[in-house]
Amino acid sequence: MKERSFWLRIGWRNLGRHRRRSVITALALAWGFAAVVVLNGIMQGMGTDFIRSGTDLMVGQLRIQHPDYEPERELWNVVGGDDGIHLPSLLDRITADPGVREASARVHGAGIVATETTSRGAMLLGVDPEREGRVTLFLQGLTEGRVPEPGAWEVLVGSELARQLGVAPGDEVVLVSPASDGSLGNELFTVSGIVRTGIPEVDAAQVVLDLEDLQALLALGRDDVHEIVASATHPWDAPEVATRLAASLADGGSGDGAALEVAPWTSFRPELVDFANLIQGANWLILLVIFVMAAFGVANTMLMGTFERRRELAVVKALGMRPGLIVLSVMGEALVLAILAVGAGALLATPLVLWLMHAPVDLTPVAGEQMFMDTLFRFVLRVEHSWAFPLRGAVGLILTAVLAALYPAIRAVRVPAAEALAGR
Amino acid sequence: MLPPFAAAPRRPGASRTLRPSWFPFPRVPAFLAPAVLAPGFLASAFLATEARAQDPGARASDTPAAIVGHVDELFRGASSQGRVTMEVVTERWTRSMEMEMWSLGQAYSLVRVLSPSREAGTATLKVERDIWNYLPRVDRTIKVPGGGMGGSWMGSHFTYDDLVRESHLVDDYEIEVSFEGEREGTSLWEFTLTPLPEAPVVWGRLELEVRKEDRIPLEMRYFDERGDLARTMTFTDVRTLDGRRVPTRLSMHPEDRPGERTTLRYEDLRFDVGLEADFFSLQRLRTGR
Repeated sequence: MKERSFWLRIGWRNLGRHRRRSVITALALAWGFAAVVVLNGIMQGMGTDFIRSGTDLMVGQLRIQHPDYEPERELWNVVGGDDGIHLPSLLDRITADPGVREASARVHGAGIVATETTSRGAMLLGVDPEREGRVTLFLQGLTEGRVPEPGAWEVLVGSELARQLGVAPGDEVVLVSPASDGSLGNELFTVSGIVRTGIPEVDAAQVVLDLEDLQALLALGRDDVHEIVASATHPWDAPEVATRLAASLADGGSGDGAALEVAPWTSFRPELVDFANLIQGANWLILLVIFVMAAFGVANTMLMGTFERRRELAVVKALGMRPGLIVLSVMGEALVLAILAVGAGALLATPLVLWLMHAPVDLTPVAGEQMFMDTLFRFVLRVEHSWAFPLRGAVGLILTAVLAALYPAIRAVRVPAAEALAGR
Repeated sequence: MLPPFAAAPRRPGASRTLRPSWFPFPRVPAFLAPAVLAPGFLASAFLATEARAQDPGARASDTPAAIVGHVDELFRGASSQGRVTMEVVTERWTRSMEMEMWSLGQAYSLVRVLSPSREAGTATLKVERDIWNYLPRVDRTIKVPGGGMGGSWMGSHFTYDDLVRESHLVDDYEIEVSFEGEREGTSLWEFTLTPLPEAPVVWGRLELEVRKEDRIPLEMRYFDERGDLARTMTFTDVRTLDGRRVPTRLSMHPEDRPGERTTLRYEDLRFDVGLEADFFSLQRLRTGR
């Protein structure tokens, strides 16, 4: 037993022989480890925020539609198909899932929005403003006025569209849209507010109105909706929740399960997944850079150590110490050094991580906001808590240090005993 | 021959990202538009070819391209007035509308819905490349905006885009006879129209069957750039309207929507009714007077 940990004790003692150097090397490693942990946390936080912003703004994290609705978007391909659904109870069943926070029904249409003098093509979106506000954020982009009152024939108009039409709250507009029965739906509306999402295509074309008003315009029934959007408790849980919802809605009762399809954001906004993967890639790059630096630091320290101990190594060799034990004692020194460094690094990183977890630093006033992939990108330093990455980082750093000591260890074994003893 | 059915440029995917299938109807090319909005155009075209058919000698003007070119010239300026029933059959519904229409050349037309009563009074005015709709329900006149031109016209398989396109059959296509003889007991020509290299046309080619006996068209087939049939238009019920023999039933079948069609049936047509450009005013669109 004593014999077995002998090399580790030697390593530990050797560290003490040049304390200042050991401490400096350990500090460098500790700093590297802390940096990896904090940076990774920030990147994870940014990734999650980006996905949240990309999904929460308009599209939602979960989407329930008729399987044939996309991409043609035929008006009659409503959720539940021809058999229909009972909308309030379907919404209840969706929100009953523990992974779902809120759900909101929508109707989509397309047509023309016109004033007395001018007109534009428009995307029509019918929502229940109260429910929608709990699932997505775009209604918060109200720059003027208020959300439409149910049954009052009121509309919200996208900011750029409002500018092109020259309308302000209180003005009248006509909406014209081919209805689901082939007739030409047309109705007078009052502009109740102006909305700005920051997505140029949306702001230049979107008209938002009360769900039931749009259903009436398009000759659809009360339970005829094209989409139910839902928010998940955590964006990355969405695929799992979607699978679960699809199963529960299929057998749970109201009619034909085949006439609705549940999709997570990962399938209808794959570019956001790509972006998340890009962030992951950047993480590994940071890890690689810091580990390579750590490896050279450790190798250098160990090389110096073995070089200084040429005579001593020659003596133990001459006394018959097995080469394997010499290698082990050098690597043991690196192992102890790395463990100490990781410990110190954890101490260094913990307060930073806790701070940025609970009180994110908003750099938006300095860095501004960016629209990117239809997503509002804000520079907020927020750490996302995760055990997996710091643990993996710690193990990785220790392994790197030990491997970096391999070369100095082999050199130590190869010290020619006779020459070193002779002082040559 | 048949200039009105020339498919003007259509770029199916061109604005797709901007208009992500907002419109619940397929976009249909231009071929029907002049036929819808300018019946006189169609009829005067036949008049021209009939006159030529009586000419015994085969002359240079009998080549397909020459006839088409001549007709293209002849049509401009002809005014007409008529009544047409439009029947739209889709997977989900079937509806029939009775309409009255006036046209002057290719540039001006006015269409007013007579029935069903729910939509009676709804009217469309086309002047050059602009279209206005009058909606009696809200008592408003609305100009169809650039971004709305892909929308369906009156629930049919036509878009507003189809209505404003001018046909340039003779400018845009090389016309040759690809078949001449008997098909199903009818002696006919089949012309193949291939777009000229510079022509802003999306079709790979068009095929047109014309009955030899009276030079009445039977069928027009539209092929996409991959050579697949995209849609078929048939011409039937040849009758004499205002002294001219014309096919009075035009039916369009989009290939990607089996079973669906838009059919136009001319009930009444009068030619050279002496309309002037100022007839086609927003005032008339709104009031009918």
